[in-house]
Amino acid sequence: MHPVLNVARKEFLDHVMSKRFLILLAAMLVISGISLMEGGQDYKEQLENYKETLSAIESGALGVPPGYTPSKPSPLFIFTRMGFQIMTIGVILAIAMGFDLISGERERGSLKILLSHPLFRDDVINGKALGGLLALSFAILIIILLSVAVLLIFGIVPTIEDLFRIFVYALLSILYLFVFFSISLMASVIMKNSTNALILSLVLFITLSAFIPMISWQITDKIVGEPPEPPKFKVVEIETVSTSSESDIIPKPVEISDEEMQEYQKKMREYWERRERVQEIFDLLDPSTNYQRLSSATLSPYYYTSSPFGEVEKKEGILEILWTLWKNLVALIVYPVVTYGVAYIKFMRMDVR
Amino acid sequence: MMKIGGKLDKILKKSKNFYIVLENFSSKMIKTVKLTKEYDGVRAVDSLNLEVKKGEVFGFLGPNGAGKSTTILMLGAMIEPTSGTCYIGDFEVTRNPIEVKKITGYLPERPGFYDHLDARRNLDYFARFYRMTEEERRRRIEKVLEIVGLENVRKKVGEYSRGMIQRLALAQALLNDPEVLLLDEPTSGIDPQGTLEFRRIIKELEKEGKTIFFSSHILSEVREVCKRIGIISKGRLLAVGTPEEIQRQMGEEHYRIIVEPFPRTLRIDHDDIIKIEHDRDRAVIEAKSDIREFISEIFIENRIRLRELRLEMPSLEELFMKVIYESEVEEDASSS
Repeated sequence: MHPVLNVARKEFLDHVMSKRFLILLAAMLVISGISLMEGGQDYKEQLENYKETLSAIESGALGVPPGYTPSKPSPLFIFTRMGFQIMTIGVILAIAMGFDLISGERERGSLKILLSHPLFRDDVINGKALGGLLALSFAILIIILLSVAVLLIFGIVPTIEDLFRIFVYALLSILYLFVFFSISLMASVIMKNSTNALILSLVLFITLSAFIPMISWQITDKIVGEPPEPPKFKVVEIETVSTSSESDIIPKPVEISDEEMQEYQKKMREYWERRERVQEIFDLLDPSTNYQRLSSATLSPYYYTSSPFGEVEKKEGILEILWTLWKNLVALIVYPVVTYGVAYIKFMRMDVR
Repeated sequence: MMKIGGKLDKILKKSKNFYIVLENFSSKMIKTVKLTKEYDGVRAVDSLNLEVKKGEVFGFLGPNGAGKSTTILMLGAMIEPTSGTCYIGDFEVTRNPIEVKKITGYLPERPGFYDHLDARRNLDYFARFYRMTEEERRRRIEKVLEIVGLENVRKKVGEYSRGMIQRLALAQALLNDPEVLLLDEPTSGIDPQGTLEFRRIIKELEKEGKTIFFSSHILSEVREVCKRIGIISKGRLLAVGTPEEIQRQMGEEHYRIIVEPFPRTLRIDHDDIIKIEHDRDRAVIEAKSDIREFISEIFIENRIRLRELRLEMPSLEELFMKVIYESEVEEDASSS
């Protein structure tokens, strides 16, 4: 067995048999089970409504133009119900798995022993990352299998397209959790003890998922500045003669010219475009925003691209949707690449005395 | 006939020389050439030249922070030297780290294992790196556990005592039946009984022909198991040889001359004299060189009859304590 595989094998078994993994996986399964049951119930209701609407259209009771068909609810809807809260626990699981991988070895004194056997130093970190990735995939696989089982319990048989979308959703979920696993792995290499590594991992998690989104609006305001002022109405006072002895003065607004309005709209469009560009950078920094966008687009039958002034575009195929959201996908891939890269370089140069 | 005989003689002579070179090379199991390691500009090991023969138990003695562990880490291919080279067997360590690791076993100063696994599962993890079959691994693990006396222990390593951890660390170092054992302070922190047991195991390994590089800061420990010793301080090798040879090497800078009788009124002036201690009619002169001839001339001039004039070599313990004292003084000075 190649040394990387030997390390990965041990790490995988250590993870999946550890109390922290089993407790957090159990919590994920309980929450996903509840969400799936609720989601399944909602889906059935939506399906009933759909069928009723369809028969009403056919009978002509609703008075809708001929040829109109309402969109059929997707069974993947039930995944969106479980989505985000599961992933929050998943992030905690990923951090719990990674924060002491290297620092723990140093603290125990097992790192020197491990390195004295015939393997290269990078076999250790590669094996640990692979073992962690496999354990996270195992957790997601169990949740996905449970979800599919619930679908079948409700009598919903997913199509090939649905199964492919579920597969893509599982890959995205693994990638999202691997972002935080690699962040905590990096922390465990940088920090000399596991407590500090855990603190650093949590600080990075909070910064990326809460602090940056929280301050991004204010920073965008500062960068982009105030929105353009709308053109002011010119007011002309008009004297009218009243029936009484006193005369009334009635203000009358003068209409804004088309040129002025067009100029304002142009400036406003430019302002929003600028604002969107800056906000997009902050959004790309937040792994959870990227994951949310990608996963909800994957699980929805259609994806609409829109902007305050832009045209709405409808995207249908999963690959077309992913292509539309390529920036979010790249941002989600860049995180583990960078953090794992830092961990790798730091580990290779680590003083093992 | 003469011509053929001459040629044969030449060939035999050449092959004999080749054999001598080959024997000389293969008889050295550990060799370092100007081995140096720097950490943040500070030399932890400074131009270390050392040779250890095959089957030898070599003691590497020095105070804490002298560079012993760093040397062992370089020999075991766990860290790379800043400059210089080291060899294990026929392999240059930096160029053949995996080959070196295959023929060495390493016991670190403070060993640690995976607490949630028992000894067998810990050892099985390490044994898999040697690509042994399952049966080979099982047999080897039972053998090494028997050597260190842990064959009947089934509990998890997290419940082990310090001594048991140390034994398990030796077991893992023996997993690959290594030719060279690098033991870094192997008896530190274990009880006297455990220490005795450790010495017994090392002597048995010596009988098996293993080359053992044994580092320690305890002189008595090293003396007990090693025939040759190297003393290191501040990264530099101060002396190397048998305890007697080291005494001579290190004692050269520190002469103690016993003179009896030595009248308190007598004045002796010599640049090499460090101090004179009087004890009744006897004096102990500490000097930088052997000045016995000079002393005897003074006594003859003063018409004093000498009963005793002899050179006393400081013991190895005294010399080693001096090394430790000097390194501590230097450490205090640098920290203040």
